[in-house]
Amino acid sequence: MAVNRDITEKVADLIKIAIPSSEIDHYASQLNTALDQVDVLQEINTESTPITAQTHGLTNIFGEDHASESLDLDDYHNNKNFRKGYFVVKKVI
Amino acid sequence: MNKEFEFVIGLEVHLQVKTESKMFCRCAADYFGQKPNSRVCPVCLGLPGALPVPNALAVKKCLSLCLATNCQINKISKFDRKNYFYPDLPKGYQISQYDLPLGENGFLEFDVDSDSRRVRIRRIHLEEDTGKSMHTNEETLLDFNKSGIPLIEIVTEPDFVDIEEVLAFAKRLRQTVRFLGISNADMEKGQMRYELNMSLRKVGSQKLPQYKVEVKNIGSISVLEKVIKYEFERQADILASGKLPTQETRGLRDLSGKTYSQRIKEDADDYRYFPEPDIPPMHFSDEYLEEIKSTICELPQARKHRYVFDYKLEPDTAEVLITSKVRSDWFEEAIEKIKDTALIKEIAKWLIKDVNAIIKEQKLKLSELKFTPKQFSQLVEMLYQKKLSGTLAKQVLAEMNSTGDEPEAIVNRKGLSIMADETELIKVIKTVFKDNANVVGDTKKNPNAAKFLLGQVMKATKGKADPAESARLIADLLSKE
Amino acid sequence: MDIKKATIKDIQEGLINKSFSAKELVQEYFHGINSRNKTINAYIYLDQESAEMQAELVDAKLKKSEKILPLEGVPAALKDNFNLIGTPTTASSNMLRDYISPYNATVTERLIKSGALLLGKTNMDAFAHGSSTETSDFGVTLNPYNQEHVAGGSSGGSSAAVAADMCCYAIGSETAGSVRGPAAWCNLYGFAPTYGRISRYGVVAMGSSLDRPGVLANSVYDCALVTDSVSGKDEKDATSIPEAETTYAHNLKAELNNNIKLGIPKQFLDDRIDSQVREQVMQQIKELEKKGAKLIEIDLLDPKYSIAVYTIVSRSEISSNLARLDGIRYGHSSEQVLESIIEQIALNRYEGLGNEARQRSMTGAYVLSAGYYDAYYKKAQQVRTLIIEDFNKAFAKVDLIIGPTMPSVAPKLGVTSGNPVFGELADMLTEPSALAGLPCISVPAGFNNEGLPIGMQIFGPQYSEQLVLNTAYFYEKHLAK
Repeated sequence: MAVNRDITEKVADLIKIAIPSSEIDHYASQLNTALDQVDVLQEINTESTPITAQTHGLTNIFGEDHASESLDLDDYHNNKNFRKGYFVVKKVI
Repeated sequence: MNKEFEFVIGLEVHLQVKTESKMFCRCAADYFGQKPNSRVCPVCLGLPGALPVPNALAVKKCLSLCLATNCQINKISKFDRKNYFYPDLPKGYQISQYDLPLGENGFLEFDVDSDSRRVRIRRIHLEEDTGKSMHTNEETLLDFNKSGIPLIEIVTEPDFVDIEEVLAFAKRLRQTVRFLGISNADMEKGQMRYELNMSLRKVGSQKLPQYKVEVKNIGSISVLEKVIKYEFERQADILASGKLPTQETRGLRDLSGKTYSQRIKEDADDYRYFPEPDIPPMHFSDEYLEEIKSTICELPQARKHRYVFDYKLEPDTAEVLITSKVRSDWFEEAIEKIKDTALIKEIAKWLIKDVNAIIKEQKLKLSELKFTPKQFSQLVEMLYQKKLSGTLAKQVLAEMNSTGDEPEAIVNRKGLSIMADETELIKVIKTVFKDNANVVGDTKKNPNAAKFLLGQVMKATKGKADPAESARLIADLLSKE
Repeated sequence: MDIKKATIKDIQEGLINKSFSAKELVQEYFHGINSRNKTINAYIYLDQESAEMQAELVDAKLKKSEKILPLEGVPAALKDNFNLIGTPTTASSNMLRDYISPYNATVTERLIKSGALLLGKTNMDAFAHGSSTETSDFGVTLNPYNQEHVAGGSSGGSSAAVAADMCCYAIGSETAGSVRGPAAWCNLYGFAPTYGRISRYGVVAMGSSLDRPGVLANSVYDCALVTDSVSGKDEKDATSIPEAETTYAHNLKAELNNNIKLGIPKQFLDDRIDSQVREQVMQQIKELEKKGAKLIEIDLLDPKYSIAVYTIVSRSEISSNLARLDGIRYGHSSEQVLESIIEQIALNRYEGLGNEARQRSMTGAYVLSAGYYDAYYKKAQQVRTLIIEDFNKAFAKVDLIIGPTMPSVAPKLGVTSGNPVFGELADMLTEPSALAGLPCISVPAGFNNEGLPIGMQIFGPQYSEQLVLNTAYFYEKHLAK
């Protein structure tokens, strides 16, 4: 299935990566290569096959409702946008 | 409202669950009023490598709401990732539930005046809240204390037939979650928010409208009412002019109910839902669900009906009694073992009026009163048996609240028993007549004269006389003069 | 002191016998690092001062003849996707180049508790997206056996560090074959236990349902001991197996189970695999047969299906796991400031993420998007079930599966660039077992005629780590080249 420029742009927008127009073809081609590789799955009949999302077989894993300590952001080193206790960005319209 | 159109309304309610810790991490959940970004950790801040672990109590509480609203429980359930980008969504996805929500196809019953109504609930699921954005002129300030707070989402079917129904539903839902103890639903703290999905169609049309307007983040029932009315007019105007209202998300800027365009939604957002790989699925056994069911208390609607049918209380009175579980539990305790419905009515009346007055005036909680429900009902019973006048009863109540003493003890100590002996009372009245002969003479012309005499009798008996009985005797004796 | 291919035992014996002090040892390793790391580029973060300080503490203990912890005094390295508090945790990506971690991964915590002496963080394919370390934003890691070739990936730095005697053992992580692969290409033992055996909390996530921490070392015993030190239930990882830490080292026996049946998949020896690799590995397997193992040819689903399933599942999870990297709370943000925050996020991500991260995220978003989910993602999850069932059928006939780890030896530098699916293709022999989360090890199996290492892998059913390790241990003691 051929992915064209239009679809590639839409996908880039979905995933919020600002791919410049000049590079769209490059990513379209990579996307197509990856999709070609997965086409083989159509050869397999999976009509009544259940899905496997996780391999561990675990169920009902919960944490008890007890509060514990939070991070102290006074010591936060990644504070490029951290000012007066808030993470600050340009106004969201 | 424009009579050509009728609305089609679906409500989405977001409810913060009352827990000690957040939904997927163990940061403290009491974030309201705390220093910004002081209740965060790698998980709820979305740091690389952090993993979610679901809160057992939040799941239990959501299930109890599902059971209380007659939902079918998905015994096999799971979390899913809802992927989208927004600055207050730290992971770039929200852990929510997609195709196997905890509960589906339930309903809530409530009353509009004396009319019994029912609205279907399409689904109830559990998810996490986002961070908080505060906008200044140029910037947006992000506080992630709220990020990860457990949130229950309730989605209704578009069953509402009139605006009273929407509001009554919202009220009853709020009472129900408080009764269940799953949320304080404190509107001022943003613990319960409404999202309105509303469109209009010509009255009587069976077709679903071709557009839908979403209004998000409505923080109170009164604003909800204003928004519905505003949107009705706005959409009706557009339709009347032959156009179709834009399918969009609208927001509020204040509490006036006026809405503003926020985002135009052409198609549904592509959230690319897929099962949350970091959290194993949930399998609920019948035993586990039975255990939760057994902890569900009598719900407000059922309790109201019991008050009306069993105790013959007025629906309005019953409605007031069930405003809060604390209040109605207090009432239940007060009327325990009492079979006389007239007495129960009296207890209800006094609770709503006089006890409430004390609470309001002294800014107390019911639990902070110095007297117990049982002591209170003893007092009302004394009044009911005419051992005490209404005026005196009020005094005794006030004294009960300052000393915590038994009503009977207070009455005896102060010698406050109502003058039960008619002969005694007639003696007092005759003495008053003698001391106020000129007033007695005035009674034929001046109706206030009799009132004055009554006042004198009350004074002479130090309030122990029953006013109604005294007035009757005064009138009787005057007529014989 | 000879640190060439030194094992944990060698080192601790030397320390206890006072053949050398911990500080001397650390200095010896740094001597090697200072002369070799600039070219090989195994480490991207080093802290000699801190390492020497840690060594001094060990020496103080040794002086008092105090008992030392299982990993104490033994220089080790951590792959740079493992959070280590206060240090850069970059996952070899520009996006996280300046990210200083405020917390420890559980593996990190447990290593430190066992006395591990960390020298630094190692290079990797950026976000673990690759099998050669060529997608690192910090430069490629060269193969110590031939510096014109890659070390492998994504745990290339960890492997090269051990292989070049720049540490005794290193922690890596595997999603497809990122521990086994570079181990094979660098002539090491590379072990990854069953998915869920070692906590993923604090490991920068790539494919959540596939990622597992593993060990690169000079001996099977070291793999076992390090695993024991970090395994066991973690409250912070809901997918961690609810069992206590393992005791593989304690129970390690260099034995071949009586009549052990080793399955050799037809598909692992066809002409997609380099002939020298095939011959060399078959030779080693035949030696095992001489020692008493029964060889049984088995027929597995063609690896091309595993490649396809892996591509879809891992890229879907990647697209979601990387969404938290928006440059707001941490990570790269552009010098260019845009008006729209959403556009800002997109620009931050474009600049910070490399080609591989971008294109894998895009594939992932595509296969999860509305309209394509069933045909791709759901289909892949269904075939994943078939692959697991295929292994279950195989393990009914054989105890373990054995074969070449990689289809070739380490490729020359630059050979793989421009191939958007190189990573997934190179891992064709490790992806099947990765999809099933099976415990696996790669052991040295010789060299090709150019002197490049060849690896042989052994893997078994879930939770069969002891059998896998014992068999590998037997091989190491009797047959390893």
